[in-house]
Amino acid sequence: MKLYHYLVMLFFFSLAACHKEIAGPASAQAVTTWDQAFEQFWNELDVNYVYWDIDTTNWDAVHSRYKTLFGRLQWGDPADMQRSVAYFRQMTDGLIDHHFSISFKDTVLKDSAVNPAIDQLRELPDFRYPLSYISLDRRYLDPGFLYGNDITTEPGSPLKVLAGTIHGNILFFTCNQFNLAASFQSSIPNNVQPVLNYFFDRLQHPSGLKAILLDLRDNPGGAVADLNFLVGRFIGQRMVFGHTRYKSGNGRLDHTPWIEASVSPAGGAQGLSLPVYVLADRYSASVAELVIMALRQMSQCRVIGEATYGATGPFVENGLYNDGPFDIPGLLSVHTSSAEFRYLDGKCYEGKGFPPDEAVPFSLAATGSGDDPQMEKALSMAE
Amino acid sequence: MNRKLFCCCIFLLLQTTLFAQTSLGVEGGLSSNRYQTNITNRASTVLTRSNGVYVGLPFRYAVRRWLYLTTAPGLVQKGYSMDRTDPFYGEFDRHVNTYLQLPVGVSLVYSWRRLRVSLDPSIYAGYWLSGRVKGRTANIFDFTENPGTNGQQSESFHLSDYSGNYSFLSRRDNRWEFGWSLGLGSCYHLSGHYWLTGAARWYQAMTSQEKKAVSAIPAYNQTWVFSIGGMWTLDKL
Repeated sequence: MKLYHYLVMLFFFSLAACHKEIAGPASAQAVTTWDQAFEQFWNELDVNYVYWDIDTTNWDAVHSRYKTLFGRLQWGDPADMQRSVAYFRQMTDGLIDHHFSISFKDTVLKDSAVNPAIDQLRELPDFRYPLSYISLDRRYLDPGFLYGNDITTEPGSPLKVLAGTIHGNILFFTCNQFNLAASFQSSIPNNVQPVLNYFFDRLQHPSGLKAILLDLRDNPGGAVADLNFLVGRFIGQRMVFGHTRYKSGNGRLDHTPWIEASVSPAGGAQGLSLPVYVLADRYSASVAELVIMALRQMSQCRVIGEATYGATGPFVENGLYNDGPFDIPGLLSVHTSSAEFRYLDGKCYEGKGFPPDEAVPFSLAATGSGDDPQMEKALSMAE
Repeated sequence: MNRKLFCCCIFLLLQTTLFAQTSLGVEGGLSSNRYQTNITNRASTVLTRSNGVYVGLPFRYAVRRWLYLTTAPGLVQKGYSMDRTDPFYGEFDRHVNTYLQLPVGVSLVYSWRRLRVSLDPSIYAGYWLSGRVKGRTANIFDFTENPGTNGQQSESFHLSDYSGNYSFLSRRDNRWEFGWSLGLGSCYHLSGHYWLTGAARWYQAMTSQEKKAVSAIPAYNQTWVFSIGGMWTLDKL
């Protein structure tokens, strides 16, 4: 019987032993050494980054290499703080998430930033800086076009919109960013509202028009609400244009299943049957790319210009999905996508950009002399 | 020739012994699984147990009156759910995973009239056969904007449901599971060859469900299995 007593005790000891604690990832903690800062950054990105399934960065090798380098840095030494920025840049320079960026909070580093997408663009042999097309567009518009801006809704980032016709029968619209719904619905009157009213009214009453032309070049995106607000005017019924998924656990490859991404028609909108042409370039980013991809889902839509920027995964604050953006208190903030987006063709265009149907390269010489080969290609297709 | 004769005798002896001291049965019941990991970094999220079912085919071989060798190949569901709380209440991600499991152990038996009680330590190997995943989450493209008092808008995200088979990834999923088990069992002799059985067993995985290369944080299954069933002894009474 003694044997049984020992075994029963062993049984209960074993159950008690099962409740061992598993250490979690360091998260949102104040750091006082570069080693702590590195570990927290590495772990936060490990659990919050949504593209580990397709990103080729060897994150484990990054840990092996940079743990030692960060361990040599002295906390508070300005020269070492600058070195840390270089290390953060090297660690993340291959990430495909084109929303990814690091901004620093420390006073010594506040002017530093890490943005792998911009760095990758700079390495292209035909790198160029963004170009605002609004003044070029005006040259093609018929007299009487409407231009408006709104400096009240987002004072730090004024919204500019331009609408009118070309050749009397092509309805044209462009905006420098997406914050249309907020400006349109703002209780403070602004110059954007009449432009949008004109454009939406012509969309709803398209008699006399033969095509719609949207210029979304040099558009960095903005509010996701504009996807429904704008594309919803072109469709008569719900339109699925892709799928999204989110992180579902702390494992690098823990994702929810794919969930439909769709656009809903705006109230009173009828399906538009006119041809739609969209101008895109390598600085058409984020929500601008989503608008382009959603419109391209319509059979009569064609995209002209360059492949887009490749920042297709939207982001919101971390708490909503427990992924995406995160902070290391007092040191840095990281912007990264909250959702992995896959277009309806099954491809993920993150880091690559959505390709145009008609590729027309940017020409500095042409734009310098007031010509716009991409616009002219779109107009020739519309004629 | 002598060797052949020796082998033949051993075989016959084994046959006789096996026939005299072997029990077969069937059992079924409920499982309750806890996913042992750490999600303290995930805001407003709790891990909850998930219940499932268990079926098994127990097999016992008596070495002594008080010592049996045991095994019970079976199917057991090991699930878990990550549930959101506070402002995200209603969102969840629930997994139900089915394992084919083979425990091998001993049973230390104490007999009292028609009742036998036993302590059953064992080790086991399992293979993750299939999984189902069901959940509800905010759809990042589907929301209603609410005007705020200070001009700032807030969004109310609509929830999207998902449900389907779990897609295995060889880079992520460790489909083989090894661990140990401890249980308390009882058998009640009905009549003749027939016994009624009941057991409560604890299974502790020693291998993470996710491969270490893709998850710095391990995740182990901890499973209670409660079963009842019947056994048939092959003894000649």
